Amino acid sequence: MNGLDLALPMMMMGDAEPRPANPEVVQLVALARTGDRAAFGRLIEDHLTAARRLALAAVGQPMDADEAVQEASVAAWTRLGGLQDPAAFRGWFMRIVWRKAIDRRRSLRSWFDRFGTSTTDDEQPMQFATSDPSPDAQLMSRELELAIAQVVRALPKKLRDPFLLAASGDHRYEEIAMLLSIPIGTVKWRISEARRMIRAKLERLGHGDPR
Amino acid sequence: MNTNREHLDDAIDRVAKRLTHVEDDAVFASRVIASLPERATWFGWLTQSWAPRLAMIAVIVVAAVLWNNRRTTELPAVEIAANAPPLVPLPDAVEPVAPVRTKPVERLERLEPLEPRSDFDRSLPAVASPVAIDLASLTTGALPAEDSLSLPSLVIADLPLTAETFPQRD
Repeated sequence: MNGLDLALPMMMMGDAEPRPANPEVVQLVALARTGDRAAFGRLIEDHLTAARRLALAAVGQPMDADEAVQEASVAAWTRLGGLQDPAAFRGWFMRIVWRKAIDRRRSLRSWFDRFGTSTTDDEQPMQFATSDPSPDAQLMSRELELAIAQVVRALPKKLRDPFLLAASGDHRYEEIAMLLSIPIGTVKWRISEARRMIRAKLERLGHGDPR
Repeated sequence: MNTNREHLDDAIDRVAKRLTHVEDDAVFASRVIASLPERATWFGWLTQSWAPRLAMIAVIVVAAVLWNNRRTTELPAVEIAANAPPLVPLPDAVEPVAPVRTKPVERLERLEPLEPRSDFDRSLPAVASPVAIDLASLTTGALPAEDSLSLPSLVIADLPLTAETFPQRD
């Protein structure tokens, strides 16, 4: 393993093999092109969770993410005739979702504030590992995770976007590269750099690696 | 060292994954499907909103009015035939036309330069006074003292001014 792989412990997803063409997707796309709403609904349902995570990574607010996904679904429905390869529906749809989410993020202008006041942060407690039995350990872990969340939010967009997309677990590096219109090597470097910056900031906050 | 670092990396991954976590929402999918519009066709813009519809209706009405009001006056065929010039019969055979050739340029004679002539050459001949005026009789001593002055009338013969007297101009 090289240094880059060490920097990406969990986000290593299979990035070598392309996704095989799903004949069911091809058939659903063909039906949806004829105006079959049920077929298009099946397509959307199959990719809905990944699309919502993708939009959430961009806008940071679940409500805005859902609106972006809804706009993207309508756009995909109206532009379905322009899809060249039906087997590439997933990537095509995700690009539409990402563009809609980015448009929404630009219009919001207050991504950090909205992310910081997200109700989900308050309503949903952090999920602690079962190996943290003591209350002190739980408290420390919670403080650490809150600090990590703040540091991630404060990352530059160029680093935060690929980092969160990779963290969502739905996208390969080449998909992230296509979404962001950058080379795969740049994607890996930015994810590694994001992690390095997070560690460095956590050290300054007293949560660093005690070497 | 590695344990702490792995612990930190795990925490980073866990938080990052949580930042993109979404709850399952079965209603959302049906809401998205319900919001899909009718599939747009190439003429869908014409049938889906009122503004293009009204514009198209206006265009059709204007075109119909213009078509009904178009000029339909036509000359009768008999009148056209009567006013037409008589047809010239074509010759049976066309005579060959001599080719047009350029003629050689004739040599021009050398012209002598014109000498300027004096103005008096073109002037009228001097007119002789028909009657000599006797000015001696007009002396102050010869004038009567009281009577009114009277002069004999002058008689002027016809001047020799005819067309032949004028010299020809060059």
